[in-house]
Amino acid sequence: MAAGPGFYTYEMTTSLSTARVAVIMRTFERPVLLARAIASVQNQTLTDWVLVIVNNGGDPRAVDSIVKIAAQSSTQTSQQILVLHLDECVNPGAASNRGLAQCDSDYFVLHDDDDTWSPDFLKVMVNTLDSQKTAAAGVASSARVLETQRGNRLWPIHEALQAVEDGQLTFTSLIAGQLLPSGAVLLRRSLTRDVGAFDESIPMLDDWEFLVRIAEQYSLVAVHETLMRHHVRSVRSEEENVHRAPASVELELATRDLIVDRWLHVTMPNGLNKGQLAITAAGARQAGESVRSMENWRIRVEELERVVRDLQLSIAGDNPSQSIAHQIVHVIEQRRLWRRIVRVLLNPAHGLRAIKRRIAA
Amino acid sequence: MTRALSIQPFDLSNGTISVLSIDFFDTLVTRNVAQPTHVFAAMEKILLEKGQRHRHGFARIRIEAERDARKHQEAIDDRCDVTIEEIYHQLQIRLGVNYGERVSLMQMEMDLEVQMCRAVPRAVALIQEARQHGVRVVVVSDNYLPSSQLLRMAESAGIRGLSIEDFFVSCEHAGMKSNGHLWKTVLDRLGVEPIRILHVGDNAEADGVQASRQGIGFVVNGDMNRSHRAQFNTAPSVLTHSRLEAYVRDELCDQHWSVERIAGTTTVALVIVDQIQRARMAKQASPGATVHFAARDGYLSHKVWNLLQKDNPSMGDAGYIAMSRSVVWRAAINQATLTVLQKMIGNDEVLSVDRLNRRLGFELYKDGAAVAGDQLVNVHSGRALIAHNETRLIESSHELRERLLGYLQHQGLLSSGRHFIIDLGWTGSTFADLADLVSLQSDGDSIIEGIFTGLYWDATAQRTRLAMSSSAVSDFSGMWTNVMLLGLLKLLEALMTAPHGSVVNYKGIDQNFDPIFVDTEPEKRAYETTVGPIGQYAVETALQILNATHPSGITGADVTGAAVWASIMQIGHDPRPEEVELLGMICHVSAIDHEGDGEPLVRQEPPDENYGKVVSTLMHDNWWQGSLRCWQKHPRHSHVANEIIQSWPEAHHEWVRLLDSQ
Repeated sequence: MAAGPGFYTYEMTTSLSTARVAVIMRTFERPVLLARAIASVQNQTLTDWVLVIVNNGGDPRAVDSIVKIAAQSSTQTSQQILVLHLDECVNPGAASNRGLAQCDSDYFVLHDDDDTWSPDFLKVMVNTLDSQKTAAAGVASSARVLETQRGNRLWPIHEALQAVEDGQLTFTSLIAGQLLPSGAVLLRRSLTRDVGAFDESIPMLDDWEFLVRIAEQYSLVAVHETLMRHHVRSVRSEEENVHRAPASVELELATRDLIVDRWLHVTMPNGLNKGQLAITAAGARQAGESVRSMENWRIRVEELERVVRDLQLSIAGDNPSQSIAHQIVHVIEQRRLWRRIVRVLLNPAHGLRAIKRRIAA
Repeated sequence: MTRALSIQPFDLSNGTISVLSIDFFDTLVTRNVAQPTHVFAAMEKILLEKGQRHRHGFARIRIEAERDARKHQEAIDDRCDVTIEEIYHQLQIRLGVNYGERVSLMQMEMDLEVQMCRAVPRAVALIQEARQHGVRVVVVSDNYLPSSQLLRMAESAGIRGLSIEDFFVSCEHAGMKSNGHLWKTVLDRLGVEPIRILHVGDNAEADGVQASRQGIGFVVNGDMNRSHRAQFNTAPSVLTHSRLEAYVRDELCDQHWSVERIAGTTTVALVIVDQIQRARMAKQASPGATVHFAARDGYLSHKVWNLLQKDNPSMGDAGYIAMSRSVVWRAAINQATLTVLQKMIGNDEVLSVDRLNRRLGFELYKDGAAVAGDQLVNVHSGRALIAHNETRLIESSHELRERLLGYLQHQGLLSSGRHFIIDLGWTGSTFADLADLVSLQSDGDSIIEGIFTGLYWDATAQRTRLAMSSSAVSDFSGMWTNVMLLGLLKLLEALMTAPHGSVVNYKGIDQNFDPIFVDTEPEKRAYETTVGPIGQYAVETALQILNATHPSGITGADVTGAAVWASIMQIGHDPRPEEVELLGMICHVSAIDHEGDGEPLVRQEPPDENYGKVVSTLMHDNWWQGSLRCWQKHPRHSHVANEIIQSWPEAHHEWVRLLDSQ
């Protein structure tokens, strides 16, 4: 049933799997990552979930083999894993819609096949939305993990916290281009049905576009615990596993332009043009970022100026406190030098290495 | 007579002493947790259980608030101690709560202190003795809690006969024991000559040096604070370990400290309990499935399972499967690839042909004749020799595979159905290889599932071959958690082991394919002196926990994956000096043939490499934290340890604070 340009709502069939949470996992030819992602779902302390794996045109045998192994795990009692093999690769929004059509649930979440959750993700997020009935979605803080993949081996090389703030979850912030990792967002299914399904006509950003539609009508709630890990392959990974960054960036910009172009034909209930709002908000966001960046530079320049001023005063000797400070620094440096000499005498090998490092530097 | 009073010349009966002054915490009373900050962990646990998830990290913030309050106080007047009100004022700022919530949290802490407070028996005996001889008893304490609260706690712990006038508390007297000012107040108020006062406490400076400066006699005994670790390692997950450690501390009061008893009663026992509980759960979920504890990590758990089964036959039998990483790997060799050659001889190894023959399971030939056994080979000549004997290598591997399959058949692992293998884990690669072998042999009828204690990132690749789960830590638990696990794998393997050596082969069909173990001298020695006793304490404690009869009150419900991980971290990542000294001497034999002297868990000096390589070596061959602690104490190596700790945040021993920030 068409709900607007590019949106489709799938009718529910009678033999649906039901659970509190539907986890939709789209995958394409990444068996090792898929196995880890499934294990992360199986590891959840809340067990009332159904996992729908949408094999988006990849080799069905590889996916079936992974699911067969995962399904052998007996540590979860109420787990349910459904696999939907698509004959050919479709846009991610279409894959999500088809996955959602396989099951009924109170909540749903898009879990990328390379991301992972903390064991309490579903429990905390479901509790949050259970207790905040007006919120259409909950968004958890996440960590961005940069990892290297060679063959089947994966290892992390950097991890950074991406705390979610309440201000990021407003309609204005989202329409301005605020992206959230889809696996960190649990959505209330009953409310989201009103806004239609994922846009099947766009090659990416379907989850962002969907969230913007939700935020237009409903509120989103931030969960400040770090409950999700958003994994990205490093450039040191084998080529086929690397996130194709340049192509993704170009495609992302083109897709965003396409979406905003469409919004230029949409007038919101408050009379504002959605596309114009998106452009204005994005401009304001960029300006805000520039100001923040300038502010950081200004602070740095001021700090530098202060250091130079102090140094000048100290050299001039017209400030007794600076002069004392200067002497203290001198004494500390002398002591440090003596410590180094003693260390070299005690352990010549370390000393030699330190000298080599200095020369190299 | 208590140990504290056994030190001459103090005697309460001869009339020379008219006042017995006694310190409060860790002398008169203690808590049922290992260190004072764990009371805040208990608070956080209660708050989280009430559904206040935003209070995650409360314990850490409470410690930070106290530091803030002390800094403020020092800036105003460094003679005075802080009060609990001042601490909660800082906490209010940090948490952003209103005054009512602040008061309610403060009351909660004071109530919990009362609940968790226990009398120290020898102090109670000392007070009784003093009173028998007409000696007045007073309490002198550096404390942020008011005297009314201390009196409440003392009474709740069953210590009677004290009144509010008997308490001299630093936060009420503008002076502390540690700076000497409180002692002056005590002497003024009591009006007694210092020589007629005997003070008993646990802190050398505050209770010893400062008291003696005033002419007061003293006895210092720190038995009750021997269980302290880093302040910031305070979180609800630590409480299970903490209560067990506190129990051992109380038991060992007036006795020598026992690292074996601590390690056995806490970490090793908790790993056993977790393995048994998860095996039981898996069996309940899959009736008809079989349970097998893997050698050697699962030896202790298998022992506990059998002991439990005697009283509860419905648990069913559990097997003990004798296999090792090297035997499964050797049984799967089909070609003399570079990887095979690299595993057979390490880059730095020089060994005799005899030993290489034993390692390979056949005799090496060159030019049609057996190579002399006493000839030494290095990485190049040895690998060339093996490549020359490729046919024999493959034949030997096939023979080993046949014997291994025969053994697995005897163990029931080839019969159709589900089989759970319980092990410490780490990568699961050995069991993934085994699962492939078993599945191939049984046409997919036999399914193996791994139930592990911990997994790190190398396990991800095995998830495509083996269904597996882990309780304490998993490959997607976060980078720092994984790194910390890597740093203590060798320690855990050394502690969770069996009295027998590793499996290197299996006997023939006529001897039921019995496993052939190889014992090594270093491992035997470690087992007799350290590892064996640790295992005994662990088995005893695990049985009590599983039967809900442990005197600490810890039951199976307290042993969650997070609690097991916290316990592993407390000993493995925040070890006390005596633990580094004793456990660090254990050698871990990891050669493919399980021969040789192995590598001590604690490396005494840093290798002459760059820091990155030093860290890598420690992670792969040693106990990371043990080695760093050892170097920190040594003037020649401390700069290396400090540099590593500064450069690698996960090397810092305050693991709770680190993981909170992740």
